[in-house]
Amino acid sequence: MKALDNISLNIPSGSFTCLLGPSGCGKTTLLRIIAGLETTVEGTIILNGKDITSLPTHERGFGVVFQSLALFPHLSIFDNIAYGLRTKKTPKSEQDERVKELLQLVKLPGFENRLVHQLSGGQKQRVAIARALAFKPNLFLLDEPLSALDAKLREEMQIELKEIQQKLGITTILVTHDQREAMSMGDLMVVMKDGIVKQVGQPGQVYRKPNDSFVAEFLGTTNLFSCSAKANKAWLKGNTEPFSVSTKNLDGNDLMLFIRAEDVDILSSNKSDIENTILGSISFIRDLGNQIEIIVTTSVGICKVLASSKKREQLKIGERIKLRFPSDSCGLVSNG
Amino acid sequence: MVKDKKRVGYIISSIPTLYLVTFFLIPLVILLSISVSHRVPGAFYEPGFTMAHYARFISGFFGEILFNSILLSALASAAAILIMFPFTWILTRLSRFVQISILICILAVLSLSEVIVGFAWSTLLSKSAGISNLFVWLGIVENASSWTPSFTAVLSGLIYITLPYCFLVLFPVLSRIDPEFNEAAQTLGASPLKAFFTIIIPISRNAILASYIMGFVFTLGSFLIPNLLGRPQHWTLTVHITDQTIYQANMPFGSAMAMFLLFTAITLVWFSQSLLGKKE
Amino acid sequence: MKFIRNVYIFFIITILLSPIFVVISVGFNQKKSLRFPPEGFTLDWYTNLWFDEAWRISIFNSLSIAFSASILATFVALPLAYSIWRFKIKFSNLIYIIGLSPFILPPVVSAIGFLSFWATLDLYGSRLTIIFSHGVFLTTLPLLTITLGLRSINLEIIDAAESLGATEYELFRSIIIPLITPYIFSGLCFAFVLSLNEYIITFMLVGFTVETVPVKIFNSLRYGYTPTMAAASAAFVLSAGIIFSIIAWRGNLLKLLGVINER
Repeated sequence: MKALDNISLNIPSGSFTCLLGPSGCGKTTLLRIIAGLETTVEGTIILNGKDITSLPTHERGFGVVFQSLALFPHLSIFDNIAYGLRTKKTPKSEQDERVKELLQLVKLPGFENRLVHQLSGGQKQRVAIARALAFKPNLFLLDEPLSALDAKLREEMQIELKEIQQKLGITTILVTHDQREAMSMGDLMVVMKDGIVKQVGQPGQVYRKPNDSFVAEFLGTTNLFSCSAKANKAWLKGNTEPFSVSTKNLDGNDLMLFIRAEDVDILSSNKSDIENTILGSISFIRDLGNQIEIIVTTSVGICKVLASSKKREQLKIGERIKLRFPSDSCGLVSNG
Repeated sequence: MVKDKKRVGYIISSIPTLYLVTFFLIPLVILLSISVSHRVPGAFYEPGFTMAHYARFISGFFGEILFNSILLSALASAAAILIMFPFTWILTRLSRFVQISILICILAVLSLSEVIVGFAWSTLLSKSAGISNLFVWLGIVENASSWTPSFTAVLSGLIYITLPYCFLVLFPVLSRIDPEFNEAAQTLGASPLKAFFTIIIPISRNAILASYIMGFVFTLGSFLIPNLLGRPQHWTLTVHITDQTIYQANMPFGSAMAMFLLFTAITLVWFSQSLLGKKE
Repeated sequence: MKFIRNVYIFFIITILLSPIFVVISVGFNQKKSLRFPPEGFTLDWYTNLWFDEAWRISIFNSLSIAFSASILATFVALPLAYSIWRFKIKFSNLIYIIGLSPFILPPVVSAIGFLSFWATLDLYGSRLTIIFSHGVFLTTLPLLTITLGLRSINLEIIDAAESLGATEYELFRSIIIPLITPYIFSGLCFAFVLSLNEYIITFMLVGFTVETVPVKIFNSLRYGYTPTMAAASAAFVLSAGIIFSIIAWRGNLLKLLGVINER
């Protein structure tokens, strides 16, 4: 059972790349290999044309933010941030200047003399970022840095991290299992499962054109239905009428039709003679603030629909409704 | 309800506490009283009050013994930590199987009676059978010689005895250190060796101190090693206490020295606890 | 780098185990002297342990005293540890310190203390004295291990049991005891092994009346060598090794010693 199998990736300089996938997919292992903290059985790592595979961690010069942050408890904030400068024998005056600069960057001015245990979770996070960036690393690596923060702080930090990265122009690789995080932060997204890279591309691209059912389901709220397809027509299991699909030309018997929850239209049940429709009954309605999520039971399976909360009053549980899958919102993917 | 619970607690704990007080504290009190009693030659002691024994203790001869004992303990404990700290640290990073195997070895060594250790070391350091023969074979020295009894022999024996205890104190603490500290230091440019000295050792400060104090007190109380591996001039306080009490039948003087030893031990432990700020 | 590391570990282990090897091999020596490396090979001294009455008695003494004392120590430590942890009685700190002291303080001090105590009661030399005094001396070990065990219990389990209607007694019997049994057992084993090997207190209290193995070995060293004593020591070490291996095999040795994050 390999942790990683046959990975080949090209990370463009200055980009913000997200390694995305469920727990155990190997994304953290990959990050650690890049950092030099794990060894590969086979393979090479090349930085700016130079082979660094056999270079030990302390000579690679990559800034790493660990999931547990790993701030040194016995050192002050200043000493923590300056640690990477001290190992390179940077003169004291330069250390002072640089630490001050970084504390400004992460919005913690004046925190030099505080101790680690005096800081809140969000503040510790910022110090960890400052420490990793202090010595002007070649690469900025982050291992699920925001997973310990509460939701609001997470969103704030996502924006700040992106701002910092753009300001410094540093090549960044971030590991996360949160697809919304990856979609909002990354220039490039690498979706992984079971040690294999499933798809690489811009977030929007991967979202619209997933390679297989795993990627389709992992991003956004997706509905997947088993089907067979031929010449832009898909026959869903449990429904006799074929659906027309305008995206991706795939033929075969073991395929999946996918449609995002927000693309599904709701029609009243008496409308007829419209293509790509199916009848179902509402089994559950979830209030999400400005949207509602409707769970509909149909003959082809459970369908999740995201609609504006304005529709809430018109719908009730048990009601029979008609769902329409617009043909340009449908896609065909292989079973992955 | 809570009050009832506490009452149960008092009832349950009263018997053991009584037991400890009776069989431990009271003996110590008796010991104290003996240390200030008169000596009756040929018998145990006679109740009375005198500070003569303490005075005798502070005098030249025994003062030197006290110095000797403290020096031995200070050196032995320091050496034990120097040896055991890197050893324990390395062990915590190895596989579980290796850890358990070595742990069993350490526990087996712990169960070696001190008298056996003394015997084994006196053999290992002897002229006919000892390590010096190995050195002759390697060509390092000309002739085999006996390294015991001597100051170094006692020191070596004391260090050896302390090693397993040192390990048992350090091992839980070191294995709890997050491996990411080491990794973070390395990503920041510190070589593994530098990370060890600048991060791991400072983080383990408390454990090192606790281990040192424990080793110190432990070696102070050692009887058999100095007895078996040292000449009378190397005998530590503990040996003299035993000697005075049993062989010289001078219980009050032995008790006085014992009280002093007790006082030293308590002071050291109290000192370390206040430094560490938490219970052992 | 890895090579240096392994050599270092190996070297330390060798130093640690060398006395054991010396002792075991001396016990095989042909002649009646302590030679290392051994000359000739014989199992006589090991069999002598069984057949020589003096040795048999001393082994029996050691085992019986160790057994009684360790059980006594555990029975003293358990209620103390439990009261402190569960009921948070007043003076917990003080009692805990009193419980730890016998072992932390130099044994010779305790030994003389015990000596004067029993002498005052005119019981000097009786077998009871050593059992009770060892029981006190060894209380620390089960106290430490049981406290460690209690502290490792997830408090929410206690809350859950209480909410499901368990009384104090049921809680103790059905939840606490099963969870801390390995710790009780390991404390007992530590106390047992240490009692077996204890010299100074035994010597002072009953050295001339009840001969245990360490006392006998020491006397042998002073007054007449026989390799039997080496055989005795080897037997003790081996049995301790077996006891701890059993604990390791049946339980979680690392956890018992307070190691939380296992690799």
